[in-house]
Amino acid sequence: MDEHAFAHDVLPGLLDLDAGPPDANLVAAYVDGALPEAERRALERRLRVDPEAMLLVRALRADRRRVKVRRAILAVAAVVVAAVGLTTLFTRRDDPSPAVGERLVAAAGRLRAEAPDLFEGFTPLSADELRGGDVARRGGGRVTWPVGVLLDEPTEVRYEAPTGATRVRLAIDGPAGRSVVEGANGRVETPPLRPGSYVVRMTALDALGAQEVRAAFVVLAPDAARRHLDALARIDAAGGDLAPLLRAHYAVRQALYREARAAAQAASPRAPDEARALLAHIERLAPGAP
Amino acid sequence: MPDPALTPRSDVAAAWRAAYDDGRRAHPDLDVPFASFLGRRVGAPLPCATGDYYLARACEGGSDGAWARVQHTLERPLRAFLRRRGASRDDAEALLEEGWGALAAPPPSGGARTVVGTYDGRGSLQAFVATVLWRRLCDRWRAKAAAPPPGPAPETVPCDDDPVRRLADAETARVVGDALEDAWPRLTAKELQAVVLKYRHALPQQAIASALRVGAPRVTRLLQSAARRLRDAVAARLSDVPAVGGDGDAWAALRGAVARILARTDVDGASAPAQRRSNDG
Repeated sequence: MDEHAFAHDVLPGLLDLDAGPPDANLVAAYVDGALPEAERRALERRLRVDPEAMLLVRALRADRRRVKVRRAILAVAAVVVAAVGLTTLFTRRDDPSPAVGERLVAAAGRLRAEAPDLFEGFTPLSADELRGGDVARRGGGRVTWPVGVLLDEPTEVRYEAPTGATRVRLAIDGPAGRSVVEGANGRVETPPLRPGSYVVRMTALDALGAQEVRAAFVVLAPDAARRHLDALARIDAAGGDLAPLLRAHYAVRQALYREARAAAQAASPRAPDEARALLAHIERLAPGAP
Repeated sequence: MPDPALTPRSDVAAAWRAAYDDGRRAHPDLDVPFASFLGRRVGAPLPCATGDYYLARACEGGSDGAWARVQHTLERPLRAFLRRRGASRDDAEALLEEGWGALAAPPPSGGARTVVGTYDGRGSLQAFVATVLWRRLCDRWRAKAAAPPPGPAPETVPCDDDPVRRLADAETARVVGDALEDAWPRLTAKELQAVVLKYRHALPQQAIASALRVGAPRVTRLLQSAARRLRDAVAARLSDVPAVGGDGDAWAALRGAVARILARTDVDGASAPAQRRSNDG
C-alpha cells in the first residue's frame, strides 16, 4: 500500500480510534509535573497513541517554557539595566556636570558675542564628543607628537613603533622638503621645523611586512599663532573660575593639544571630572603632547 | 455532627489549611470560606497551584470580583495560546467569549456548580482552561469541516458480531497502536498538527495552511512526509496483523479491522468520534 492509499484509506480510521479527550485536570497537572506516577504513566500511554492529546501537551509545555524564558530574560534585563544604571552613576563623574557644562556654553556664547573675530563658531565640546571613540591606528603604530597645530617649532618627533618593530624610519615632508631620520626608542630629534604644513611617514624597518603610518601637523606662523595667544589671553581675563576649562576646550577645538593638556591639568583642582574627561580626550588624539 | 467530608485527618487537614492560607495570601480581597476551599471530596489531591485553586473556588462560590480576575489574568495568554495553535483571530475571540460562559456553566458530569469548580489545583488554572478551550477549538474545526473524514463510512460497513473476528480486530488495533505509538512522537509539531487537522477534523488544505501559518504546498509536503513515516511504522508490524478468513492481504485486513471497529463503536452507543465533545462544556 503506498502512502497515498494509506493516508486516504487507513489513517482517518486510525485517528478516530481514541477514547475521547483527556481530562483537563490531568493534562494541567502533567504539564506542571504534579501527577503521581501511576496517573502519569496512564496519561503518557494515552499521549503516545493520541496525536491530538500529544499536540495539546506539547503546546502547553512550549507555552510554559516560553513563560520561563521570558521571566529569565526579564530577570537578566533587570540586572543589565541595574548595571547600566550603576555604570552611568559612576561614569557620570567623567561627564561635565550639567551646571558646569551650561556655564561653559554661556561663557563661550559671551566670547563669541564680545570677540567674534577670535571666537566665531566656538562652542565647548559636548559630552558625546569627549567620549569619542579611539583614534584608528594603522599598522599598530602611530606618530604621537607633533600632532595638530603648534604655536612654535617642534624639535623632536615622538612615536609608538608598529608591533614587532624596534627600528623605524621617519620621513618628514614639509616646506623645506623631506628630511629622513631613523629612530629606535620612540623619539627622534629633528632640526627646528619652521612654520608650515608637515606630513610624517613612519616605516618599520624590522617588522614583518611593510607598514607605513602617516601623521600631519601644522606649525603656525607667528601672526597666526598670535591670534590664538590673544584668544587664550581673553579667556583668561573673562573666564573667571572657568578660565582653565574654557581655555582647554578652546585649545582642543583649535587642535592646540599641548596648550589643551596644560589647561586641562590646570583646571583639574577646581573641576576634576571635567578635566579628567578632557585629558582622556586629548590622550586619544595626541598621546605624545608634552 | 460534623460532615465527615469536611473533617479529614489532622495531618491532611493541616496541609489543606496551609494551602488555604497560601491561596488567601495570593488573593486577600476574595472571600472563600475554608469549607468551600476544602470542597466535598474526601481524599482529593492537595492543590499545588494554591493561588489558582483559591481563585477557582472563589469563582465557584460566586465571590465578587473572582470571575473578573480570572478573565483579566488569563485572557491575554489564552488568546496567544489559541493563536499559536492555529486558531484564526475571529475563532480565538469567539472561543474566549464562549469559554468564559462554558466555565461558568454546570459541568455535564456534575460534581460542582461550575466547570471551573471541577479544577483540582494540581496544575495551573491557565493550563486547565487552555485544555478546555483547545477542545472547543477542535470541535469548532470539526463543525466547519466541509466533508466527512475520508475513508469508508462506518455505516457502509456491515456490523459483524463474529467473536473471532472481534478478537482479531482487537488484536489488529493493538498491533497498529503499538506501531503508531513509536511513530507519533517522531513527527514534528507541524506534521502532527497537519495530520490531525486533515484526517481527524477534515479541514480543507487552505484552512490547514492558515492554521499552521504556512503555504498550501508546505501542507502537502507535511502530510506526505507524515503519512510516509506512519505508513512505514505500520508496515513494519504488518506481519503481526491477523489476516482473518484466509485474506492474505494484511493491508486489506487492517483496513477492514479499523472500519469494523468504528462501526461497532457507533452501534454500541459509545460516542462516535465525530460527535465527541469535551466533558467540561
